Amino acid sequence: MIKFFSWLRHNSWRHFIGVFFCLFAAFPLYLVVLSSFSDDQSLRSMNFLPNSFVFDNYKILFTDPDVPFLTWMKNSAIVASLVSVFSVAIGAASAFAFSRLRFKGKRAGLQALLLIQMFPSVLALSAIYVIMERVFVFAPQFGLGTFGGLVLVYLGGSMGVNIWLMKGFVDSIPLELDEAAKVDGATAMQTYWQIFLPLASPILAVVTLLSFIGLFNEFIMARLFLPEKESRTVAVGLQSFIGGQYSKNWGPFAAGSLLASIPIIIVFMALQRYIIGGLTAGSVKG
Amino acid sequence: MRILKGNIFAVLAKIIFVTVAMSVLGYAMITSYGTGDTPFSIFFGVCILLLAFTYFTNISVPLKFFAPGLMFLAAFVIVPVVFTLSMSGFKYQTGNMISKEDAVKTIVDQGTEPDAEGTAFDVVVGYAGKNKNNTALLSTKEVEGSIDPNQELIAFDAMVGYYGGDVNNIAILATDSYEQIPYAFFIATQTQFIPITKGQVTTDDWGIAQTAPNFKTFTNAQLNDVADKLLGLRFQYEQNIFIKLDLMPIDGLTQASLNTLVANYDYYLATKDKYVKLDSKTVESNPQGYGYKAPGFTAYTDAELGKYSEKLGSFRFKYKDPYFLRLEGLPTGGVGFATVNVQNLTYDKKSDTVSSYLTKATYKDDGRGNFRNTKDKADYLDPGWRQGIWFENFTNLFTEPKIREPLIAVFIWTIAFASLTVITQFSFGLLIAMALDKKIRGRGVYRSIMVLPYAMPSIMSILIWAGMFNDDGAINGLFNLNIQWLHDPWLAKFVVLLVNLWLGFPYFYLISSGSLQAIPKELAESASIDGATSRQIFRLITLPLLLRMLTPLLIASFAFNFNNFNIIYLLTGGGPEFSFGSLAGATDILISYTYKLAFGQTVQDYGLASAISVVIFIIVASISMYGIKKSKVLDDFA
Repeated sequence: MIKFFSWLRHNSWRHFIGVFFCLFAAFPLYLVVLSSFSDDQSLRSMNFLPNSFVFDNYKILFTDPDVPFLTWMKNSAIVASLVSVFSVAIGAASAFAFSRLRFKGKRAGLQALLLIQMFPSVLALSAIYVIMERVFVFAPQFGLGTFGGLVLVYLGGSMGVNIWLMKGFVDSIPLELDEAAKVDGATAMQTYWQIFLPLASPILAVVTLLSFIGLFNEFIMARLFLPEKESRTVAVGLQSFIGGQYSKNWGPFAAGSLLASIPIIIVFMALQRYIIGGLTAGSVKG
Repeated sequence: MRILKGNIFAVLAKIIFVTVAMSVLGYAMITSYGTGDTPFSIFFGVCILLLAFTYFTNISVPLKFFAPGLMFLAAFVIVPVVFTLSMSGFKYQTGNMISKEDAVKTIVDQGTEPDAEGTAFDVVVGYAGKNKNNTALLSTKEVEGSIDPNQELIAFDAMVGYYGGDVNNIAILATDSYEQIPYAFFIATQTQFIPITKGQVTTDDWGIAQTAPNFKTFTNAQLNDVADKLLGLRFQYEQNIFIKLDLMPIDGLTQASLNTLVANYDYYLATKDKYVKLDSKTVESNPQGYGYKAPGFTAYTDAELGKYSEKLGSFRFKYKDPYFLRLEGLPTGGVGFATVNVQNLTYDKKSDTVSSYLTKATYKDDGRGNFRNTKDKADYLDPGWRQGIWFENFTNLFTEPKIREPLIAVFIWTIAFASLTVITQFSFGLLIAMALDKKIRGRGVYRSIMVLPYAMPSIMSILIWAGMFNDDGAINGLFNLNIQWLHDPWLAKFVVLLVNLWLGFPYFYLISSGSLQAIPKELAESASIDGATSRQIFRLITLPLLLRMLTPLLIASFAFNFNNFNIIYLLTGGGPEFSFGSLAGATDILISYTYKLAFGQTVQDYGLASAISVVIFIIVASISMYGIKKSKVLDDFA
């Protein structure tokens, strides 16, 4: 009994805070899960406990031609994977150079890169819009309103973040191997292709996935670039589908946002260790 | 030669790769040059040179690693930033979007007026002579028809009145007493002929119809009002046959007779520089009277019409100077429609003015992107062009009350939003980190649940929250409330902060718990041996140490939230608006306000939006640089 009171005094407040914030964190998610299985469209009559369990809302997502959810998911997946793979493939070389080579202007370059990372692309939105409008004139397949154009813009926008992120990870790879290669007379290029890339491949995979998550979350550019219903990404599609009419479309929306989030949550949980390691390096998830 | 060194396959792969990249860029360079976009083709040219020098010479090893990334950064980050900077120096808004050259062209193209009478012709489009490019119009003009002299007189007794309850729809109710036509009674308006049976009319002693459904006889006063035009009116009978009144009615009754219209047509041939009347006898016309074939004129086939359609839209055919003929739309079914226009606005390059032929007004470049009437300052020509105005967009931020007032409110909220967000997220995150700093039962479960908001795509969670705080949303439903969360300025602000706390507290929980473990336990232990209470230990040791470690992250978070567009845009859209119809709203932060300025529904002002963007960048960059200095993150690479 005394033991219990002592526990209460020392640990109960910890559990109180833990439970309270778990409730806070889970509250909206719980409601979303609940309403995605509910057949009651009215949010007004919502309850804390489930009153029905049907799959109607999910069915709408896969059958209603007004909500091409699968197309949206596919669009998001294609754009995000193309961009994350290419931007890591291109950025890895720069990350290697920043991490391993000695050259003039390295500090200035890093500083500039950091500033670029701090410079959110929303600011340059009007400029990118005008630029892509002009690109459309001579390269219609890469201009405004095309997947190609969006991929290019994303590639440019994610380059800074990815180089910085990869450089942070790469710094943690021990130097001995590439120094040994240098002693053997390998050029920087040979070191990069034959020593560095095989060693860094797990890191590159992680950064690719992180980049994928970030792109999946992108909204403004996607909305500006792909206004057609069939070419929207899932974020834009669901937003336009709900379009302020939460009371009307809430059920299917809840189902859709759950389906769209689950893969990301799984990837995130799997990568938690790396992400939290990266957090302290100063990257902020957006 | 460096190029021959190394693995032959690697060298080959490199050459193929670089050559492909260069040819793609080369293709882009040529096409962009072809469409007249020189800056773009210069950019592509520089990229090609960069690739060539980097990979086929040995000027710099690091550049070999940087070149591809650098090109993308330059194209989609550095160029847009520079572009934003330069746009902020222009008047660049709805109505002033294009270059001056294009604006002049549009003004002149659109600066035509139809002649005062609105003369129009039915036309057939073709070409004169043998050259198909010598586009010509065969225009047909109907001249006043004449009554057929051979027509035997067919006359009726007619009451004059109106039909269908509309006094302006003048009509006659006629009686055919002599059985000259198949109808004993009928009503005729200017557009309709309505036979009537005997049962529908009432007749007077002479058998003349007096009333009929929907027909009302004019009173004498009403007759007086229309007396001027009455005898000129043509009432409908059949195609090309009409009814005219022979005498002015007395007490509504008069005599009317049939007339046959014999249309006469004049034909004209109009080309770019000729307008001649043709001899009607030589023109072949269809039953409707449109001429379609004449000596020296051949109509285009449909295929040829399609081919010339682009040119035809703005083609000017000669008419009596300074008037000219212009097609109104493309001909359908072979026959088109042309109107007589005059070039009202003309541009004089030497004096850089536009003058009006009709009003004799002169419009001068006002130095602000528009041609403005020299006599009437409120009168200017549309469209204008983007005009360099140096720092005016910046000074307007401070001097123009319409811009300044919402901007101040938005700026204050931006600062408040960013700092309150960081404070709440950090303090709750730290509180949880301290609560879970001890190995208690269920810590792992707590942790994985609390990471959920951070793992979830923020777009989705913001949209979900927006739905929950909707008027008919889950919050009102669950707690049986009736609060308009997002329509009250203060409640909306509270909701934004609450949702942002939900989104961000896990992040600060994670980093605080990491940092707490990094603080040596000995410090707290020795302090407690010295008699310090746990509160004192927190206030004097833990917190200062934590703050020192986390300051860079707090600053980074501040900078991030300063521009946290998504949460504002998706949760409240910046609303509720300050006053009805105002662009900015109570929860708008600078970035969302700028977005509305640049991409608004009604008015778009790129110039002003860019100026605000530059101001935001300066603020965020200085905060970030301060944070970088604090974090000493660059010191390792000196």
